[in-house]
Amino acid sequence: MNTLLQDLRYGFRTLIKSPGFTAVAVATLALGIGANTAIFSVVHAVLLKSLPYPEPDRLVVMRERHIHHCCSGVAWPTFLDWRDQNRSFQAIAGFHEWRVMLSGLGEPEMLRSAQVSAEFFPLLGVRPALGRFFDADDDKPGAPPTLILSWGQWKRRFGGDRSAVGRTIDLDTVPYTIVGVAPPSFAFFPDTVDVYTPVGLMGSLKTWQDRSNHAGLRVLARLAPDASLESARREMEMIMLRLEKQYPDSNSGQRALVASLDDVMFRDYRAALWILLAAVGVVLLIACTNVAHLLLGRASARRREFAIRTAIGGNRGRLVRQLLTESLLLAGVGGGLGVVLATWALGPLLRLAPAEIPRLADTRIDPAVLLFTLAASTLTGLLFGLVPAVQASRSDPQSTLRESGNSTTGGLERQRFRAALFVSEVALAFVLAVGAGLLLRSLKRVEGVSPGMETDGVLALDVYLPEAKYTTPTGRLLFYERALNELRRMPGVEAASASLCTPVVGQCWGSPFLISGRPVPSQSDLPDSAFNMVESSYFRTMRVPLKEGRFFDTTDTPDSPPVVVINETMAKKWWPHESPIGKRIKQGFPQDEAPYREIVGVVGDVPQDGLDAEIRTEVFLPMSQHPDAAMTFLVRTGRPPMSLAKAAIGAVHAIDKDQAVTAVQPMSQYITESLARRRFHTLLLGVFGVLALFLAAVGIYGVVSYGVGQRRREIGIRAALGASPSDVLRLVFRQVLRLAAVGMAIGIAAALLLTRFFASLLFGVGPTDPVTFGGVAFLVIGVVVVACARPARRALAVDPASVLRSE
Amino acid sequence: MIELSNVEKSFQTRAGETFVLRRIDLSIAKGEFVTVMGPSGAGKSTLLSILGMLDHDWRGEYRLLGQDVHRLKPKDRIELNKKHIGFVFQQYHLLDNLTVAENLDIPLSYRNVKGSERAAIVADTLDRFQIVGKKDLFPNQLSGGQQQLVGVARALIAKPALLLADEPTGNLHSDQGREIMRLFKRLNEEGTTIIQVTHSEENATYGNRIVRLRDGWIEGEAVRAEAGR
Repeated sequence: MNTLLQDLRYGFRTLIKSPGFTAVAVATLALGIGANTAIFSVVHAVLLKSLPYPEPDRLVVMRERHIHHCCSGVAWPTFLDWRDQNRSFQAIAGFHEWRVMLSGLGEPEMLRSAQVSAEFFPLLGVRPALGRFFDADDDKPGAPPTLILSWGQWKRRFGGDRSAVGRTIDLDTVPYTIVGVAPPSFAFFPDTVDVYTPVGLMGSLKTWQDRSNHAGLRVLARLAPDASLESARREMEMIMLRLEKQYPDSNSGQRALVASLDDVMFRDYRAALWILLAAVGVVLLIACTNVAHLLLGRASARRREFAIRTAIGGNRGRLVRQLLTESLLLAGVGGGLGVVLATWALGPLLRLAPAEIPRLADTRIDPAVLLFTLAASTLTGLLFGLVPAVQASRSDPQSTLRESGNSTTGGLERQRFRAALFVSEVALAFVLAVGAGLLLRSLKRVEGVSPGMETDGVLALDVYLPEAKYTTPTGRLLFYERALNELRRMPGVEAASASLCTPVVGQCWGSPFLISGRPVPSQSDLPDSAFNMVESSYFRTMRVPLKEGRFFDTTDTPDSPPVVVINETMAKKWWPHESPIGKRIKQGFPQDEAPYREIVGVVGDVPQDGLDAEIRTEVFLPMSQHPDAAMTFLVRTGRPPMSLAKAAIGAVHAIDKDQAVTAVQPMSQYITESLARRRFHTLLLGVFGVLALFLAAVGIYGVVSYGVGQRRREIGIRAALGASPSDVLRLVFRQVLRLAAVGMAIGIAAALLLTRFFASLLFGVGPTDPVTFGGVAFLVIGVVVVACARPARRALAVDPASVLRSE
Repeated sequence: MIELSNVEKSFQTRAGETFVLRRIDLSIAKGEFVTVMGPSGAGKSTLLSILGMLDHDWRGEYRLLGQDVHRLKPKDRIELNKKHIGFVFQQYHLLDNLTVAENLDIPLSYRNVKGSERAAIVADTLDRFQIVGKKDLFPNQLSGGQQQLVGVARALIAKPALLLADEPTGNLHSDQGREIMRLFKRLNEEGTTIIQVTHSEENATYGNRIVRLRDGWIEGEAVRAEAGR
């Protein structure tokens, strides 16, 4: 212990006596460790921390899926069958995210609601902060409506008043009694939920009683003690096969999708976050390489010291320990500064991160993150310190002590090690830069994707008409028409329309359909398409191009023949060699009473699920013939869209003062938000790529500069013998460029291997995109050349006369 | 104490094998004060490095206190060195970033002496060499003579049986050099075996035996009837 303290004291003193070296080394390590700490804190909060529920690995989420297409909500009767027939789960609960309109308490407001079973909160091990949760009597069709407030709503709306429990508020014009308040820490849903209501109340709706209506219900369940995920999946498969036989009209081809809660919550973010952590790991490796270079240089200068220590009895183990102590001290100080940098960087990082990432708000520099930093610092210290320490301890005391004290270039082994460090730095920087380049090209590709319409200059605002108030399609249609008239009359408005689905956001519902005149497929083989309801001037307002036929117009009324417009993808898929105009399709199952609708137009594709998502087939129904309860108004203006926000809300309230308006924002913001995650990943990887190239440049500069210093005498003599500037440059840089070429070759091979792991993050470019690889190769060559520039000038400035004089 | 038998050191060049030491046979008894002399390039410092186990690249037989050094691995030689040998360098070779006291402490630390014991030994040594007042100074704050004094103190702090000194007064002026040589004489009288390499005839008079080297061979030996001053 005593000798360790001695080594620490000495190490500290040695570092203080070399402030330049120490500052550069500490700064380099701080950047590398700090970046790792910041990203790890996000990874830890989002992916690694256990979910705050008892035995979270026993929780599963279930949906329905069709054997031919993906996933949908669970039909209510199917959920009841699952609840009654399963043996794999000790508890099972439904949940459904929705919006409700709060009225009667000041300004009407749309609230995010979650409709949940009575078993939902107990299944998650959550206790109410106030009052109680739902019981079986609350959670059945026809029960007196009850609700649970979120902690945030209780504080905001009731000022934390305990007497809120027992009071009544109106949701969608229906009075609900408050029975409890959720605890402040409860955050199961990705979007903050304001109120919880019993999902059982939905069971009284005729639409929910329809087995073929998949209204967005999902199921949360806890595995029974003797069940596993696999056994649960097998049982659910058997149940669905049974239901398929029992209800062939609605359940043909339907299966259950059973996934762990962890997988459902984090699947979309896992790959990207781990890739980011790997990327900062590469930055840290480059930082370690730089510091190893610096230490090697210092070891050469300290050969005399090590020779003396050996001569007076120091064995290699003690020398290595002393040097490792210094390295760990450096790494510790670098790590400490890294934590400071990470703490500072965390705020901006979280602000830039897409809010949809779950548990992002939990990110902080907590003990687990500090432990990671400690481990990273220790590993870093050992990594960059070990080889220089071992090499330095191999000094030959006999020859060193008899020299005048001038250091030499070091042995062959040391030179080889330096070369290996140089090559690995170039290779690592190349790999990271390629990753960043691929993401950047993907982002540019996505940004270049046309949204199929003109989204600039459009204000969007959502309304959800409460069913209790707008009970009939006619009532809803009247509201929309009157509201649109008010919106169109506003100054500055060029056009206004409405649609069910907000483009790009992905809200369209899917439905099977039939084509008239073609054989009716079996229930399980029915094709599926996205369905959208739009007001007649929608395509003109949003400037969606007409490809064939016509748009909806005023002749398409509730009493006129039913019509549809389809998108180009739908036309090409189902009528590749003929015009679809005049053909007829029917939405729903063969046994449904829905009418066949005539195709009157084909419009250009609009990416419903995001600019980088595959375009689905889309069928547009005229709002006049199918007015839904939830629509988005779209107002085109020549002014900045948000300047009309207040007036637009006023226009809606002119028709119904109790109608809440929500999500008022420019249409272009939806585009921006849809790209947020991709932009975030690209930005971070880009920053790391730049950092890696910068550190590599610093390292290369250090190595080349050191080499020029060592060869000063040789350069002077050669110049005296007639070497030209280009001869000098060739002498000094031949090896540098050779090593850089080797580094790039290794970097290319490594990048070709590794980039396939984030192919899922790319769009429009492959993981081995030659343009990216070529561009980065030029960039790395440029970095090497720039890093060599100053040492090159120094080499050319060597004065042969002064060199010969000092000989 | 020391037996060298047919010790040789050479290295290969393009011109063939070049010898630094040739067929060195030498015996040194306990308590002797031996001076190794010879012209530059005679192999004096090489011989001292071999005796001090700083150089492992030689052949022949070397026995120290009955131990066959030639049969030991380099690691074991270092341990033997630590136990029995102290080395004084011409250029002092103090550690510049350590104080005088810390320079004295280092060899003890390398010999796994406990902290409290080390502190006591260092204090004694500082006192013995009358450098207590300089214990917190760094080498660059001392004169050449003072640095060499510290170098000698460091070589002796672990009480070696054998002290090797390579041109110990080479970088000192004559008065300082005499001080150091008188100290060596005293140490030898107290029982320390000393082998010094020197060009100085005056320094050689402090010893009781001279071994002369030329071109790697032992040219001759002389025993002084009455050693020292």
